[in-house]
Amino acid sequence: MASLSVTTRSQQLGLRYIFAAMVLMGILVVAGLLAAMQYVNPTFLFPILPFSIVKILHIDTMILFLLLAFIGAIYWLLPEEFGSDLVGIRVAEVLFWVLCAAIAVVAVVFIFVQYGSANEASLWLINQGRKYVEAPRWAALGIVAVLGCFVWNIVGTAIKTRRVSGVTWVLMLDLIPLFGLYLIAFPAVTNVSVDQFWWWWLVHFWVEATWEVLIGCIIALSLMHILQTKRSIVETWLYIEVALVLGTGVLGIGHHYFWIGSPKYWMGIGGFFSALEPLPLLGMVIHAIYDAGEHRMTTTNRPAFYWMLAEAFGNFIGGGMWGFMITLPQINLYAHGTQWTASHGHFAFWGAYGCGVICVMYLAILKKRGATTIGNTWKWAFGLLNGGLVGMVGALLVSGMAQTFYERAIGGSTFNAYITAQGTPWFIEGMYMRLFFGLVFAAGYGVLAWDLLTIGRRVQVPVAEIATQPGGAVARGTYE
Amino acid sequence: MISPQALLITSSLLGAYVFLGGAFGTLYALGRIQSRRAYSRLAIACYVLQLVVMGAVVTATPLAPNWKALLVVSTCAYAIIPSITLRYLMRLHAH
Repeated sequence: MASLSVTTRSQQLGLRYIFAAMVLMGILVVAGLLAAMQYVNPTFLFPILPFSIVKILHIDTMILFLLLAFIGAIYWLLPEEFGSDLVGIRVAEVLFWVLCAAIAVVAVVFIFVQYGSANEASLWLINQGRKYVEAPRWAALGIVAVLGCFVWNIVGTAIKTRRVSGVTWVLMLDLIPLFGLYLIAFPAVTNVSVDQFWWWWLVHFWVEATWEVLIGCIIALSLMHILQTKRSIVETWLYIEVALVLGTGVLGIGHHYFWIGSPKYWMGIGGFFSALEPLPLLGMVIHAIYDAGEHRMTTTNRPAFYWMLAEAFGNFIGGGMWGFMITLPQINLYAHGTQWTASHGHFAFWGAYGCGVICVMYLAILKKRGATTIGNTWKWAFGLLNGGLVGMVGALLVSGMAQTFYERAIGGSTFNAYITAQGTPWFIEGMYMRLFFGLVFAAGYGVLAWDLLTIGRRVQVPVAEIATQPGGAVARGTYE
Repeated sequence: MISPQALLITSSLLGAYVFLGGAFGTLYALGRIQSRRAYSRLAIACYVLQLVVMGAVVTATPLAPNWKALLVVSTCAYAIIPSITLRYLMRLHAH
């Protein structure tokens, strides 16, 4: 890998995206805590900030947190891959600020306007009403512009430099569906089954296909930095993982089609491919253990390395194990849409993506600051965030099982059964425990934010010492 | 239809099944990389437990026969994925 020893404009933009992602993660955590409070005390903040709005803030900032972190990671990693700064970076810099302003305006509209009449104007100005992509159309157009610029930055640089590696090929091919699928956010379809059918294309194919490939590319590039793994190895492994993940993940979309009015054959297809989804994740775990063993846990960037390991295990347990519990149609009939699904969603998102993007945050920030002395604060963040998350998903699992048992299996999904299930001690205590562990997670976020802001700055390291360290970045102004 | 009790038991068994498959793979890889027999023995114990869980799902739960058959085939896959993956990784790194 060609190593740029100066921070390029693309990398500076990447860091800006990463810090913006950190801010969004903070909003995500605060909104999550408010929602957890509302489960414990349903009148909390009502009607000023109802649960429906808090939930939108929570899940939409989660999507944007990850999307911005991905974009930041790519802007950070690709200049070294191409041996050149990315083309069109000035436009990307402007669009970054436009995007930040748009996110702020949308958040203000969600919080203070909340909803409008059932007409086109509301779709354009207030809320599109589809989960995860509620942003009004004008803001969605802005996201399309940012993603379009992002694609241009990468493809344009590849054409200009004529230096395309295996990882960048995979990345560029992945950008087509990443960009194209978002366009599904726009149409207003009145048939709810048809609407859900295509909406799942956006949500599922982003989350279980294009994002998986994207994080695969990011981790592949990161591995070359963190463990100095050879390019041939990471590229070969990337091809295999992409084939396996797409092989099981694409038709795994069927598990979203069980109960939305789709043809019955989706039950067989969805159940079959979903059941296979843990297998490639097991391969990732083996790979992570092999890398850890091969390098005897020694690396130039321990925080990034530990977060990378957490990603492999979190993805397997959160996506594989938690998903397999509820993915077969006979079980899913009762469990879907309960806190059990929320438990799986939290664990899978955290394992598959959250840990991966924090890994890249540490990689980029430590390289930027040329830090070799990192202290122990990152360990606290690691422990509190992962401990808090595991506690939360455990609590949600208990509440979700109670809902499934009392509301769905015994009560037959009536409204009365729904209310009965909400009143059971298992459900209520689960909600309290979720709030407690949410606070632990929030504390972890605080420590993480503090660590990322100050790591490498708390202890001054002589420049000469940094220069002798492998992976230490020293500005010399040349491409090596 | 599935009874409320059978629902929770079946799904818990399915979760345990995947967890044990992961534990088997993890311990198998650790045993091979660190040349520790204790890990390898634990790995085998996890796989045996996974077989037991599979047997329980097949014999004692109301899942449809096709899902049970899928579970049996998956158990074979779990048995070979760690060794194939590790062997491939070693060959890849040796080159």
